[in-house]
Amino acid sequence: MRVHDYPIEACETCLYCGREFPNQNILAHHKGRAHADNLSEREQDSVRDALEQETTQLRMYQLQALILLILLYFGFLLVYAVVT
Amino acid sequence: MRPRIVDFTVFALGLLVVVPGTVLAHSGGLANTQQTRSAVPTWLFLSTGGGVIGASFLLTTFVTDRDFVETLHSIRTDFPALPAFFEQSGRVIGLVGLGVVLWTGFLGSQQPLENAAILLVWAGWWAGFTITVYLAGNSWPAINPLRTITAPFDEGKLSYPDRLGGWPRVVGLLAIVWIEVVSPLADEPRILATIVSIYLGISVAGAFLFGTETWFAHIDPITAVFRQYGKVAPIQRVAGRTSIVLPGARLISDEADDLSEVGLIIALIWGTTYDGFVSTPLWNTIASSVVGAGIPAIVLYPLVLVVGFVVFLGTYWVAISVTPRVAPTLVGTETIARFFAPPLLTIAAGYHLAHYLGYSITLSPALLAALLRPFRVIQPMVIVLPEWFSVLPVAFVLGGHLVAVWVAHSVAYRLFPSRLQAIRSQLPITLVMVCYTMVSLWIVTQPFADPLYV
Repeated sequence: MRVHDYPIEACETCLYCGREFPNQNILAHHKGRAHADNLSEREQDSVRDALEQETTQLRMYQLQALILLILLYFGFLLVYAVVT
Repeated sequence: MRPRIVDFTVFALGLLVVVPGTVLAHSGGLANTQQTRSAVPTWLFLSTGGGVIGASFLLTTFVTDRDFVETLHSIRTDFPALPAFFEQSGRVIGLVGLGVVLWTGFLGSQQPLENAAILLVWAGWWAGFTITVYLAGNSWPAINPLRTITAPFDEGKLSYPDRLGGWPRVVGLLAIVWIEVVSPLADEPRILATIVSIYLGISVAGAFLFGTETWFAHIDPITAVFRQYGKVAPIQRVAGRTSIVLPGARLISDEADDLSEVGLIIALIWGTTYDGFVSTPLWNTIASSVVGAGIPAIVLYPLVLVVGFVVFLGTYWVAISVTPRVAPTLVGTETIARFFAPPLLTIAAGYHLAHYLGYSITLSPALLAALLRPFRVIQPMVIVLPEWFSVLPVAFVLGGHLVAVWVAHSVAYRLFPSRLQAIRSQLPITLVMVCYTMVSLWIVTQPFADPLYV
């Protein structure tokens, strides 16, 4: 698979496979997925940190999704009550 | 609580009754044009459809276990290759079918419901057979009579210009949609047989010039359409192995080869939309004022077909182009476009099923008669569908969209290393799907109107 089509200067390169990622965080996720068996302890730590950070962010994101779902549901409920 | 439930039921039923009425009507002259309007205002009906898709996207954000997503789609059971006998009988069936269509189309009764060519092509092939392609597996390569006929032209006389990629089949598909809309293909057996003969002639000439393999791999639009629909199916044939996978799993693992395949998928969806759009009263209003202003109808129809295709492709491209801004990535726009296009195929399959399942069941007795005694005048028998059947089309339309949302979710997980990045990357394409749901639901709620000037 082609990784990117245009040169970008500010990017992080994976030392294992040469693929490039927009930031350290996403690079850590890539390493955790693609090169889990070869990582040094420090790299493993960075992968763990990235996963933890991601989990927190995901929770926030899911909370927002839940609020939106509730708004959507009750929004439609009210609109149907008024209109029909 | 009670009135609420009643309201929802009324709404749901209203929605359900509309679909088959409209759809059967523009499946070509064989059905009535009865129409029931729902009690819910159109804007609310449309937003509810869009809301369902939006909500299902929000729900997928709760499925974040990468291993679970990957395991689910790698479930597969291989089974041994079918004996060559099946392939040979497939060829025979294809050839006999083509022969019957040509013979009865030119020489049979010219009443559409009594004619085997009309029944075989529309109820049998385009409705029934296509349904088996996306629900079971793509058997077209084994049946395709054009391929059997052109098999002797193995080597082409000309080399196919590679820079054209797969674009000729996109043009071919749009041309077929145009001909289907502007000519009475479903009403007049002789015209149908003529078009089939022309298609046969083009295929023979094309295969002779470019070689059978190249013709059917890069140029023939019908083969390409079945290949795309076949990717939705649970039975897949990859690298000589036949396996059963979850429906849609192939769409995750098999991204579009190049931009022309993305174009083909968009053309498939736009073709369905265009077919529906030209049967709405709004279209006739537009068409009569445009033709009144001096633009001939013969220009108008293909012009709208092409402009609409460009608009659909452009919308998709805009959604894909903003994806890297929403989810930071160095993956190029072209790659993202190739990955996110196949999920749209389940939407196309869902609409096809909604449009044609009832149609093919209704006509199945006549089709059966046509299969058993193609050269006799067929008794125009139909099955009257039970009331509850009208529930199904909406379930299929929504089902197609829901599977698409899920498949796009899994594609994003395959493409992006970070889960947050994967979820965010779906936002633009989901927005497009929500808009498209509303557009197509609008078409479905419109009373059927015979397209003017065709």
